[in-house]
Amino acid sequence: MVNERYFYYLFTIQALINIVNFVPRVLIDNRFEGALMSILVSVVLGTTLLIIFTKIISHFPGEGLPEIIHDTLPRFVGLPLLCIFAFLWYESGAITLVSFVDITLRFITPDVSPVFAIIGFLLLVTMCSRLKTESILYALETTLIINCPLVAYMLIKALINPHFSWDAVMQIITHLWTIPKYNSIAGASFIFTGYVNLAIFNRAFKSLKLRHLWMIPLSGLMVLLVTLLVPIGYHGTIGVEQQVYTWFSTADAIRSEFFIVERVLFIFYFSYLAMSLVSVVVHWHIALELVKGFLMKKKTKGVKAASNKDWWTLGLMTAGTVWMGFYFDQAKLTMFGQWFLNVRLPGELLLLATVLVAYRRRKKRA
Amino acid sequence: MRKWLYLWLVILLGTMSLLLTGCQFKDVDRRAFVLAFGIDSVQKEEQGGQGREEGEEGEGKGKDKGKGKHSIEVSLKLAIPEGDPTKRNQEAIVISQISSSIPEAVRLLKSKVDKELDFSHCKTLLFGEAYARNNISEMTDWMVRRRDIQLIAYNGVARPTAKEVLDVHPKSERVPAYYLILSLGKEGTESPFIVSTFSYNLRRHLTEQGLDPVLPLVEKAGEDTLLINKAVLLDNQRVRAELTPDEARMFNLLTQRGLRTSFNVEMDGNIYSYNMESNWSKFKLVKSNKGKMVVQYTVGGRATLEDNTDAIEMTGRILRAVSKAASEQWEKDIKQFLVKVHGTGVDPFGWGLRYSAMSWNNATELEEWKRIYPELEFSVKADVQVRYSGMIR
Repeated sequence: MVNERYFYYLFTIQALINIVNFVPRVLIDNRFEGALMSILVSVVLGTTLLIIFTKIISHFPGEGLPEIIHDTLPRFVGLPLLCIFAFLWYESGAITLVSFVDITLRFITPDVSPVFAIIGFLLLVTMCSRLKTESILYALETTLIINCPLVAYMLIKALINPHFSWDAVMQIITHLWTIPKYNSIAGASFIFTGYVNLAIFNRAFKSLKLRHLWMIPLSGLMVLLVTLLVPIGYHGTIGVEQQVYTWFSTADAIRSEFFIVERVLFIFYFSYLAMSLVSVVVHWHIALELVKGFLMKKKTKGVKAASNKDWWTLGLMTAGTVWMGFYFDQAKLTMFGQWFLNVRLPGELLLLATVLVAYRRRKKRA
Repeated sequence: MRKWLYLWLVILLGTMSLLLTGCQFKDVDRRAFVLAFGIDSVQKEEQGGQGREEGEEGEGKGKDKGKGKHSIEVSLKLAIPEGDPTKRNQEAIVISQISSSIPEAVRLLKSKVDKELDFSHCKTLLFGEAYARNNISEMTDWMVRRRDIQLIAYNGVARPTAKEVLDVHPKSERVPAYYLILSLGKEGTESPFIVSTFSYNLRRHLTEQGLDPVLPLVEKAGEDTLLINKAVLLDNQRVRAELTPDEARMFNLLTQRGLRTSFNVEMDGNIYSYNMESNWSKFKLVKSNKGKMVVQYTVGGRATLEDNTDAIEMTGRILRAVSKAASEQWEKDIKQFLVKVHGTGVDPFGWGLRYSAMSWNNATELEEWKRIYPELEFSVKADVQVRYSGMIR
């Protein structure tokens, strides 16, 4: 059982990792067509969903989604639901992984075959996602504590640069009053979805009485504004569209004369490498546990030990990811990432509905 | 089980470390580091004369392109890694190649050296003057598209050609091409006449609507001296105007904070020079009552007196009088400078961008600006405070 602060880590990692998951891409594509408005909408939307979900799931202390579903819903409803959720979580991790492999090949090792990079990452991720839920939370905490100061340093460095164009930022802000598109709302609300990880990680929480909830919309808004506006301050309102890896190019434009290396890009790369991998571990752990949930015969409380059968699931997931790594080119990967962002929001609502129904049924029974 | 896990972890870490070497498996002594990159445009007639070292292929390519109009010459300044970096025996090599496109030229250059060309330390990119007067789009596209060329490289225009500028080996240069890096940046000299521009910044200025780039002009002044004190203004393709040293300094004064420079002012037949300790400048766009748009600059700064030709004792009254005279001088000079820049038709200060940033009417702001721009008027309000008289009164 862990402290409540781990909930905030789950939120933070999702908020920080959005850079790898094509959120800047969709926001920047819509920068003249309501990206800012969609940020405001998604802050409200995301916070509401987050509060409702955590309120409901706190009535199921120590239980994960498979247990809840088995307990309250008939099997022919529960099984497809678990399948859908497992797939969504798997894809979320896989996209982060594949796009990070892509970034690695582009910026760090252009001459290495993608196979090596994918296999290296996959080895780490598959082995770690079989760990105990609590262990993953501890690893998450460590990673964030190491990397957050670096991210903060780079952000401050980025904002105090005299070459940062506040006029370009203002130019985007004057496009505030535009009706946002679904795409950009779905993209922007991605950063609030850290809470859905409670579906499995709730097993580790004894109670969920969250304090300082006002920090969530506030920090979410800040993260989204930074995601959209800092690249614009560096690459201009028009030029920013040409960047493929928007944030990595932005990190390359930040310069620290007197730090370890002059090109901030490399520090940025390594801190995001650590955070992406941990985020993938979190998502795949959930996917794995959900798959194990299909096979669960009856309600078992607590965490099941890792078994060798997990490797069948993980093998399948690995194969899918390797295929994605090979099949997707730059344009296809971006499209798929966007598609995932679009599907994710309804998926999230479905999850919320599932938990809500489960809660009702249990209350009626009690 | 646990034991196997550890073994796996070790193997994994081993593989990862192999994957993450930045050097693509080639050792440092097999690499030639490109420290500066220069590009020139070449006229077809000159090809015979200049291209004596070029092989058949290079010239052939130039002709293939039709009339050789687009042929360019790429020059690289290479550093060969050596043992002791403190010794001043580091020789830099300059190699060049005429071709029809930059990548082609780089591929051809690879056969002129025995080592792998490494662009990751290329911190200076120079456009030859003739090239910059024609069209710099290809080059700016290439340097931003390539992943290994930093976005924090310095850009500049070279006179007479990039090749000749790269060929200069100044006496004070201890590491090859370091001269350009130190002088174009702020780590070495902090000359107020050098307008430094990073690649990402150049790119932003090129693409942005209502903002045009400015580049420093690097001149070859002698056998082993370089001179960087002018600047050129560009539109979104080519050089449109040149700034004199005084104007380049004025440009820096209007765009940078904390510029280290000094100015002179004449008062009652006596010349006072003062040194700036801090400075600031901002502008806003205001509609005048005649309906015209006025760019209103407010500039100012604190200064100390450095010198006066008649050795007058500096009382508070005189300091205030000097400040007033200096402010008037600034207002006159800056206004003259702004009118000149406006006359060239480019917008290096981003007035247009500011206009669209301030206007909430997004649909027509660009057309509005196009209409407003030719009619722009300028007003400057300067507030120079010469506060200290130095060590003596």
